[in-house]
Amino acid sequence: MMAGRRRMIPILLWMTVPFFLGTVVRLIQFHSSTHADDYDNDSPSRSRVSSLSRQVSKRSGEGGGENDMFEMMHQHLYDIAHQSRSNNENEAAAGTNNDKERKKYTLDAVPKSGGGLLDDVSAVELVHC
Amino acid sequence: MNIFFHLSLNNNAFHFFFLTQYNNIIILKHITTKLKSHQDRELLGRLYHDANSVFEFGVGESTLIAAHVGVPRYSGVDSDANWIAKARESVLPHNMSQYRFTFADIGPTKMFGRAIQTNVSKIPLSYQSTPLYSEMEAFDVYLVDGRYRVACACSSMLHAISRHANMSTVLFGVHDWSTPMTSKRDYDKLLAIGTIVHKSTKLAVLQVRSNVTAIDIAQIWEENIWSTW
Repeated sequence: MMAGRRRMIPILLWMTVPFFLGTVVRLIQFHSSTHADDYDNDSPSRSRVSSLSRQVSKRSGEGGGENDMFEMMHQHLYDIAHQSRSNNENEAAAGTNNDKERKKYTLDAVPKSGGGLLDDVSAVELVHC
Repeated sequence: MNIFFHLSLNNNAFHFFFLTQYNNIIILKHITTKLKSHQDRELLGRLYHDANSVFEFGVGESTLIAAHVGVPRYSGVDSDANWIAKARESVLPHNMSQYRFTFADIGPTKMFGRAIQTNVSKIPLSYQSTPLYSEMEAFDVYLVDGRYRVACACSSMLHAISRHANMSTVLFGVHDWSTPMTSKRDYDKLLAIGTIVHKSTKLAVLQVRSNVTAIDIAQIWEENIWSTW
């Protein structure tokens, strides 16, 4: 009798654990759906909103068609992506980003275990490279 | 560290749990296959069967449907490199090695593929425009089933316009289009520029309204660049 009950335990666990995990997932999904405001107030684009509109008006006046709107948005996102880099450059020019000074590379930086990213590559694979 | 935790079937989707480590913080990561309902599958199957080219934001079961019905030109983007690798492997049995998969680097991701740091400046460029920028021709169908869906739907529309597509035939699918999520996630903003031409359980398929300009679309895109849904 006891042995039969013991055999039932893993089966019962297998049947119930996915149910509980599923419930957790649904709760997480519900939580996520009720916190839909993911808009980050510190997002870089906040300060740039409407700059695109000005570009559009200018380009339209120059005869630029709407067909290149995708190109302009891509350029806009490219500017956002590299905004932080240009900020750093400005800070560097002003001498205000001392904590981000460039480092020189010396062999002291080589990891003791080997070559860093190549650690997992076998010697055979390197020979084939 | 990347420890497989458990797999369960819930709400018609497979859920994978991982314990992963990021900056000494252990994170419970969840990946779901986002299986669609039968209605969604049938609608997608019909659309893909009649399409010669498909672009997908967020790869998964829809990618397999594209391979199954033999869509000749396919391109898909995802923010999870492992997921991309799985999708690429899964289409090989269908002899679809020409399918292009792009990894969009939005930084480390957490549950539901969301970026852990949401204000990283590279995110919109990496996810919303770069994968499309290298595509020189428009697609017949664009499916938006990843992150940043409103922005990606807009970028898809502008891509089609820029590549001189016949906008009366190009279709834009948005998955998880179901109340009350639609308004909470701002998907209904797309109704200002598009009209729903097909609808299944959770899949809405839109076409761009004839009176909408590219500037209208760009404005909605710009407003939703950082909206992670």
